[in-house]
Amino acid sequence: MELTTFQKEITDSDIRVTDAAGDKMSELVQSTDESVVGIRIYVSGGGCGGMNYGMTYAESETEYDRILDRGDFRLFADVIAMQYLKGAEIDYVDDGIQATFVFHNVFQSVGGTGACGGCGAAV
Amino acid sequence: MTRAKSIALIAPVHSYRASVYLTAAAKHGISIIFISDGFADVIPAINEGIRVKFTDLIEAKRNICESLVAYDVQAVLSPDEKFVELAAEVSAELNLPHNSVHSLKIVSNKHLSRQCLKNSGIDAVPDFELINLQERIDKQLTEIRYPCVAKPLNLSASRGVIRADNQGELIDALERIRRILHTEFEHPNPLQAMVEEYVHGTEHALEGYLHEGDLEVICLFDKPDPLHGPYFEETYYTTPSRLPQSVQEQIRKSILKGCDAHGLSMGPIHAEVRVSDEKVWILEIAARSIGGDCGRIFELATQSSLEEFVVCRAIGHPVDTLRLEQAAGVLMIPVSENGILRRVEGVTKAQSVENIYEVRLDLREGEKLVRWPEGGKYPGFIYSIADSPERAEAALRESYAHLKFVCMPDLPVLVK
Repeated sequence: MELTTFQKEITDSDIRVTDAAGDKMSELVQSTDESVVGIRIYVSGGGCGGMNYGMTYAESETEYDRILDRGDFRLFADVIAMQYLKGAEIDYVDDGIQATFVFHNVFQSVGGTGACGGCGAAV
Repeated sequence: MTRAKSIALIAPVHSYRASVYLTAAAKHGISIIFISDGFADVIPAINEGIRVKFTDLIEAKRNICESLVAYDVQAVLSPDEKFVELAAEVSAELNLPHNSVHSLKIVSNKHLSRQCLKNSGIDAVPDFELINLQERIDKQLTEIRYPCVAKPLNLSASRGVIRADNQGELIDALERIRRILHTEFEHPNPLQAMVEEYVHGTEHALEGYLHEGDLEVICLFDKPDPLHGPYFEETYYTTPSRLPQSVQEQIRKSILKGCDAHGLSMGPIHAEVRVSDEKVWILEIAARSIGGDCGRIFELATQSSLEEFVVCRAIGHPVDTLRLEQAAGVLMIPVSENGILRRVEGVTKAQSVENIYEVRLDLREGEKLVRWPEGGKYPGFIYSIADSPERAEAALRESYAHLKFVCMPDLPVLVK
């Protein structure tokens, strides 16, 4: 039997964060108070087209977290969320009308379409 | 031999209102056959029941009727608006008292309801237009007068209800409603909205019970915060009404007329009106009791719930008329900012204000707070009981001032 060890870091092959997204996350974290230790990606629900994805500030690290440490900010996702994020790319787009983080390729590992009645945001 | 009292209750497995009906019935020795969906063995675990799938309502009706043959039920009810029609269809099949299915179809659709009120000759009904959100919008707005209010046809809790003072605002509002409908339903049907005349005036909510052609008023609430828009989330409700008795009676008569126009003949009624220029404008009539947890005020004030009253009345079981002897108030706690809840501060202080009976928080840390018009869930309720509606209202305001919702932002995410 082969024992596996818990991998703490988020690598580029797990989630790729574009420069635009990284810069925005850094800006957001720098603008907060000391209680914020980074950005957390969370996954919730599970509608007809897959899971719902969101991001908020992280106030603490948990033992189940995997972490991307870019120096100027840290990105957290717990192991459950990681199951739905493998292979994803996170970008940030500001077209003057809408400014948003964009998750690409999140359905690579789990299927679904994102056309969910719960989130309504996906295409 | 006395016939055992028994009611069938149709509700989705996640219904937040089913448990209060179960409790209410149990208190009066009335047995409930709980008809619901779901996969886990919740039904036999908590109550005798029938499991059906609500994905096909025709099949659901057939299964329910077949299963209920084994029981001697005297009424079929649903605490959830979505299944009131199904309950009426089953009642019809079993020859039990019910509102006509046609009347319930009309009352659950804001546009059909407006048409029905207008056609019946009731004059104080706002003018309205139906807008197809799949077609070019500006061409459909030529007859609209401003200010107006745009609203989806079948959402509740004032979700998606937006005031517009000019055509530009109205187009934005309708576009926002379209997005809300796509968020709420995978395939919104109909993809329509209603635009109606904005009526100035004070707003009031009536809780009543229809029986043998008469409307018994359980309670008339004032809404002391002005509801001018642009959004219309509920906040303060106080009772007894501070309106003159003659106007209160005018409200009762107008709503009874509205019920007649819809063809409603029995059961709980929740209605919303505006009083303006000595006219009572009917905004909404619903064949159900008050939504959310507002009805809990009856339980706190009288130790007898609205659901007990409804359950007993449905089968003619003797029950005292539900009356609030003291003044009372409810605050549906507003959502002041979008975000993810970290904590709520000041609860103990809010609870300790004189005349406050309960501060009830329904959201937990980590849950999302979404402002109206996209949002539709209140983070909680505050209840007050006092010797006057003014004091009940003042207590709610003082209590709410102590509450602070500390949130983290919900960063915008688009999934592609």
